[in-house]
Amino acid sequence: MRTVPLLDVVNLTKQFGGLTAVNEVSFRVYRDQVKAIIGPNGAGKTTVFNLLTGVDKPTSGTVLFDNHDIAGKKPHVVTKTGIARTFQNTQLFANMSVLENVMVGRHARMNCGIFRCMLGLPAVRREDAESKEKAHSLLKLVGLEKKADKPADDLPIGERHLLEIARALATEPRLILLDEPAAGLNNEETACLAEIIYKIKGNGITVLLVEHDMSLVMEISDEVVVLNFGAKIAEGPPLLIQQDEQVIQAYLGQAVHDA
Amino acid sequence: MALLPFIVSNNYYIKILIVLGINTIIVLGLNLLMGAAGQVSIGHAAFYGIGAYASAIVTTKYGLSPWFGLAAAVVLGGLVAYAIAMPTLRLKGHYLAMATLGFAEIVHVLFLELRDLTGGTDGLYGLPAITVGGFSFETPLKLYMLVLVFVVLSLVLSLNIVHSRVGRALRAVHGSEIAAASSGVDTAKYKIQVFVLSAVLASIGGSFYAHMAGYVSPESFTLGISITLVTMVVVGGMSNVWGAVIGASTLTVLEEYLKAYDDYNMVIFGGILILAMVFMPQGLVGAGAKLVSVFKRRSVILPDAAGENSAAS
Repeated sequence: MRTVPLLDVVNLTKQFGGLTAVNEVSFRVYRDQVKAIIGPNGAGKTTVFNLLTGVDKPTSGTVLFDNHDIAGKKPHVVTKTGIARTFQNTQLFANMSVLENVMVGRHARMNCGIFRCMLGLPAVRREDAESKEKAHSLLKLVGLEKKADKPADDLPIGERHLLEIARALATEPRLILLDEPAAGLNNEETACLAEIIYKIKGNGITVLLVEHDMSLVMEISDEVVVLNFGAKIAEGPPLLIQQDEQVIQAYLGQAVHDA
Repeated sequence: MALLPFIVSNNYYIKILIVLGINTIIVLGLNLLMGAAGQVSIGHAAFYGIGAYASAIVTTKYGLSPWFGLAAAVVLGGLVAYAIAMPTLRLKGHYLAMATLGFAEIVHVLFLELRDLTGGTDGLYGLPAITVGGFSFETPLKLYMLVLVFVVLSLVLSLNIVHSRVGRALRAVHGSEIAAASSGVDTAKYKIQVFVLSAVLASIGGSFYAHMAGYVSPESFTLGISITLVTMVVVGGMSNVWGAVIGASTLTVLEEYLKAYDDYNMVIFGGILILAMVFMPQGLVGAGAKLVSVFKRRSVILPDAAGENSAAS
């Protein structure tokens, strides 16, 4: 069953000056999995996301996505090959409506360049209408369809994370990276988020997430990777991770009451 | 706008309308660059000048038709902008502004020093009027009509861009470059494209200016002009294409009134820029929209809107 991994990270390393933020990290994500990366603050989780999506260039190591090496490729190229992401500190386009934010996510799946757009050709309008429709259906998926025409800046923090997910899904990814999607969400909203992640998985999209909410991680993840000081200290199914001595030590007991 | 010249038949006023049209073309491009994409240039007088000189050199030195002058303006303005955009658009915010400022100063010095080509401080004289077949746009009225056609074209192109995939990409770059890139937008490509487009529009404006005035000289393309153009963008309103039209119109007319106080011109424009930034960050268009919404609220009394009004007063 486990043949070719969708994402194969091998000895990924990132140094910022003298600091090694990510140290020889290797892990695999298989199709239709939900995999979580956890670890204390400063463990290098977000840096791993930045390395996978081209925001930062790895110092060494390879990232194979569907057997293509994407390490060091530019972010928009990575997006086009099928990896989308959200941001821990949400990065919405404050100057645009909720719907337009999602439509930006359609960018890589549209074709009209500056000349055709300038002339407002029928092809441009057709493509635009199509992308608007897709954006609406994604807003429905995350439950923001009623706020489509609001400025993105007006959304509360929980809905910002959901809008980021809709925008990421608009790029038609095969793998979506969620960076602390439950940050700032109450229990009810977190339950909603879990539902949305199940729906994403149900649509055949693989999920890799960084998350601090341990009950969410343990509920939805098929596998968990634990980072500490930039290195991988454990990997496996949630139940085993909870009993891992090293993991418990890394969290200094925090993980025990969370779990 | 099309009917105005028939009301004001005086050639002096028609020339002001031509300048107004030329400024609108340039400010439309600058509005896309600054308002949509969030990239600040305080060096667009350089492209305005490059367009004017390209036209002047092609027509006076080589005796070619003004249409070749216009084409030369577009090509040269675009190429120079592309060459400048490649290295400078990696810079952000103030650094990009400083780079464009430095570039404009270099271009200004070149206008002065490449005497064989540009005529130095004297400039170039005797530019011909634009003609189509046998028809000559020699009178101000005819030239105004031609400029007006280009204004409308630029306006339609700008509106089309802003509400398209490319426009959303530009606004996304403005909002968050990292999120734009992660959404699939090739941020470097679009920043270069919009910079080149704005430079080409400024060059077209320069070409028309040269043929209207009949001569070009370096003093028409100084830092002061760059700042006036930026002021037009800001005063009109950066978040809306129509802001470019309003800003260029208002300030062109104002500038004409202020010609009497020549030396204080820049002081007044600087003052307007500061006041606009503080009191109307959305420009005249934004302030107008706010005013309209206030009136609408007062006439249609919604329970919560009425509550808000009484709470405010």
